[in-house]
Amino acid sequence: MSTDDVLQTFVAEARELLLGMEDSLLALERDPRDGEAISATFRAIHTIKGSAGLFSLDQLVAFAHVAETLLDLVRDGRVAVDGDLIALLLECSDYLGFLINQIAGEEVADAATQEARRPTLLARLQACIASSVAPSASQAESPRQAPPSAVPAAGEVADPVHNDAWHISLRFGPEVLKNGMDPASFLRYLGTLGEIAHITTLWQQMPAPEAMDAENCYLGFELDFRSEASREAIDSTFDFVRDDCRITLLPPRSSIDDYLKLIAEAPEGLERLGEILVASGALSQAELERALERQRQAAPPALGEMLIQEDGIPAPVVQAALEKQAKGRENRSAATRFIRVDAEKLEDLINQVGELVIAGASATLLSQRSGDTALIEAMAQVGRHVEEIRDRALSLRMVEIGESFNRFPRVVRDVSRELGKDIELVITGAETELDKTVVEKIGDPLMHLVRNSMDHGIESIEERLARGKPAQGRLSLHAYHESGSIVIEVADDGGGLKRDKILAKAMDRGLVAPGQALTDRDVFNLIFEPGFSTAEQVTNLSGRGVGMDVVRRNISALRGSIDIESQEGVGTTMRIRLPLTLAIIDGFLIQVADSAFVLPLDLVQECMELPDGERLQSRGQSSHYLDLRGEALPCLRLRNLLNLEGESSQRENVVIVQYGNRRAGLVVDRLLGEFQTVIKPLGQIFRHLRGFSGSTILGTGEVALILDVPTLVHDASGREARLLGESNAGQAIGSEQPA
Amino acid sequence: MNAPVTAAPERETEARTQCLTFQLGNELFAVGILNVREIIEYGHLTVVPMMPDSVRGVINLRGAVVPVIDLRRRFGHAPTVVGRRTCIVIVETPTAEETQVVGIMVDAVNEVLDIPDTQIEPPPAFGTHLRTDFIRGMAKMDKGFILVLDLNHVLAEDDFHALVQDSECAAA
Amino acid sequence: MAKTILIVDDSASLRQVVSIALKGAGYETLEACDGQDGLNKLKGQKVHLIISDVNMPVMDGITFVTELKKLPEHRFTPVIMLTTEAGDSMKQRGQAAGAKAWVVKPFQPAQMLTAVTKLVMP
Repeated sequence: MSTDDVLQTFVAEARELLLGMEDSLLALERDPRDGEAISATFRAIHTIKGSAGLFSLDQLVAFAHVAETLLDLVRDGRVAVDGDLIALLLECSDYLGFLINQIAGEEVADAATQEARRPTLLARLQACIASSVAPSASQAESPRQAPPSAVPAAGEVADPVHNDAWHISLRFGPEVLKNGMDPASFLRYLGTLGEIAHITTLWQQMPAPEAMDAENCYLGFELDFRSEASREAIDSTFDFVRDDCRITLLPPRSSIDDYLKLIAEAPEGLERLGEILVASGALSQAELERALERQRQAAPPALGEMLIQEDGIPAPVVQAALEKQAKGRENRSAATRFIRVDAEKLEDLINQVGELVIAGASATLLSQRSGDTALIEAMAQVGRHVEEIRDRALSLRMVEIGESFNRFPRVVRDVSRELGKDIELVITGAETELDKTVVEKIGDPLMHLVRNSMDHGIESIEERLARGKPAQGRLSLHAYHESGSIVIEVADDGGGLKRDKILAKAMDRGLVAPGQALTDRDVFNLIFEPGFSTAEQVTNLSGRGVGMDVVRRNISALRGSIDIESQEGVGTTMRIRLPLTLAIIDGFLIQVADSAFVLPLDLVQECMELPDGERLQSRGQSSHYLDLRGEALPCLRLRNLLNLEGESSQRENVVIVQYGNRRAGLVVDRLLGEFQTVIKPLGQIFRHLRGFSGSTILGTGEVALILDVPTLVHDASGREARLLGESNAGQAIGSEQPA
Repeated sequence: MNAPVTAAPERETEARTQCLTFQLGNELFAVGILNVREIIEYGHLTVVPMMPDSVRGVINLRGAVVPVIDLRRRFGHAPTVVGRRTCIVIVETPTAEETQVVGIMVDAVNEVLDIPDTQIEPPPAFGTHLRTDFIRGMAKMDKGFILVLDLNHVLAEDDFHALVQDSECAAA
Repeated sequence: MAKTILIVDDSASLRQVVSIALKGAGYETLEACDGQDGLNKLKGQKVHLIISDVNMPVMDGITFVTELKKLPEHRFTPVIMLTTEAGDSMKQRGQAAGAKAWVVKPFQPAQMLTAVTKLVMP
């Protein structure tokens, strides 16, 4: 793994953290005392900063540092949580997101503008930090420095000794071993900084065997050490044991007084340590005598500044802290069972499974032609396993739709503020699963619909109150599975679509012939027609140069459909229906003239033979009606609709399809049965071709096209409506079922 | 590449383009060899309804679904009549999003030619019976003129888009 | 045999960078994404040193060290805690729990390597 790969990990991780942070901030907006949300926000910034430091992303670290400082104060209750603070932190999150995008090497269009926000944001953060209240007594804590050195840092050394090596005096505390520290490891590390000229091990503190605790450390060392390293470097060796140990570091030619101090405080006693120092060559006998003489003259030295630092925290405080942390154990413990897999690997796997399915179909075909029963049975068994593997492989790519719902709380919050509306967002079914590639591509259309609902759907507060509605509008995102598809609803309790206005505008634009009667649904669906969205509707929110037609096109590109239900004054529901996967589906194979086509099996309700009478009547028309057990079922003759020439079969069949609550019949020549369909994209040349959602390869190796039934039906009905104009009004293709 | 090793130093002094030449009727055409992925026999293809007839259909190229363009039709002539030497040349053209793989139907494939760039001249304003943007240049060779095609324009998807809509309107 | 170091941090990128630096110096590494995961990874595993963040979901670093000290086979394993300047009170609690070695975030990989070699030579 290279550092570049790791940087990618960092980018993905930072984005995830920022999203999580937004969630927490929004939770905090609802309940400013939500301690867990504060902690989570802090943790996000903290982790981003910590990781960014590893990559020397100084810009990011510096900014995150200030935000972290503020959040630490918030966590301690020294800065109050209010709307301004949350707004500020959200802006910080945006700015951090921008920095991350830059780190990811993405083109950022308004980089200069974004960057210009930095000083302002920093100033606002600093202002908040400055406003913090003084810590309460229990939180008072002066930053602790490394213990002051035992020796005057610089200047004239009074009465230096002759020793030109460092002298290091170490007394390891009894707890050192329990803390996981091995005294020898520090001496080994010291060996990397210079040469240990002399070492004396002091074991005099060792108690009698019966009183000895084998887990305690009773050792001390007196070292003479020759090194070119700086004092800081040598001193830092003992950073991790400083709190447990007595460490005295005397530079070469230290003052005799320093040695005196050292001797005086030695637990082994004056005489003993003196002897050791002389024996090790740190002091000459004369120097020792001189020191002891002074010792006798002066009062005992102040010990205070050399004391071991104790951890003076009362036990209850620790206990309370631990309990609080325990509460933070969220349901995320499951996360440890996941492994990260490169999406490309998964893609490869699914492609391979697709090839396996095709090869399997071809082998099955051959086995059937051979007429060998044992072989047919064996192939059938292989087929079942392939099907199983297909399902498992596809499920690997299934993710919860919640991933693309995540950003909406923030969007709704921001946009409703911008619009001066009060809008509550309700999300249900976020755990509904669908293919990752679909999730990624549905984000933009959803965003457009959500913005559209907030902008045009939900009324202003005054209007709502005037209509006797609650001031707070309600926008809901709802996802659920329905017959092999996922349905996503964007619903609002706003003013609803105005049927007459839409119809008038559609006529104005020539989308509907005058006098043509249409169902409500047909009228509402007109807003998805290209050229329907008008300048007057385009605000800076939902406008952005794309109309609802783009939304529908994007959804069609995913082999999905969109439908509208609306009631004036009550609200609007936009219903998106998407296939669960874009890779492999269960298909139903049909033949028209010489061509085979695939229908998604989920849409197929039933098949029947076309009655003779109907047959004669329907010849030559691309659409007509069929009496299905008393119900008038609109039918499309694919042969005519698709302009296919070729032998027609003696008996024609009707495949009855249903999607949403629409039903239609498709007249075909032959029914070839179910077929595992590996979806192959059609080339770019076919990008604008409507009515086909892709292609697949049959067992024979031939290519078959997959029919996009909703689009076929929709286009056929539109064409018919245009052709027929005023006559035969209201009889658009696709009969509606009571829901 | 496949070019002989001895050709390399020569290429440095004189720029050359290796081309695959093929025939449509009596006319000779060429495409850069770097665009050509393979040449396959004309076999079964699946018709795609509602597409202009310059799009002959799609084929299964070892698991990938590849459109096949009838080049004669694309150039405004009558559709290709499949004969003994009819071939599909699989070509790749880079587009903004991905590499587009398309098969072009030709009457016969001739040979691979090393055409010096100095011998490729800009196309005449008229007289080729072709849209000028389809032609990168004309090469004067011993056998006569060869039209070197600009595949990016020949296979531009937007043109097919327009045709789709036309046919849709026609159907309606 | 190379010495094994367990890295416990909720940031995958941090774990990876530290891991690369340590492996480069001749250590073996294990990774865990939080304290609970760390305890799981320790089961039946000889580890010479642990590097652990303080702020983590599921189980934070201090609880992790407290739990670690209850495990007979791991209670003497040295732990380097990662903290920020802002986390001073946290440091006190950590020290009470038995974590004495602290490295301040953000750090450079080389700094971490130095800290590690103080406790365990490769």
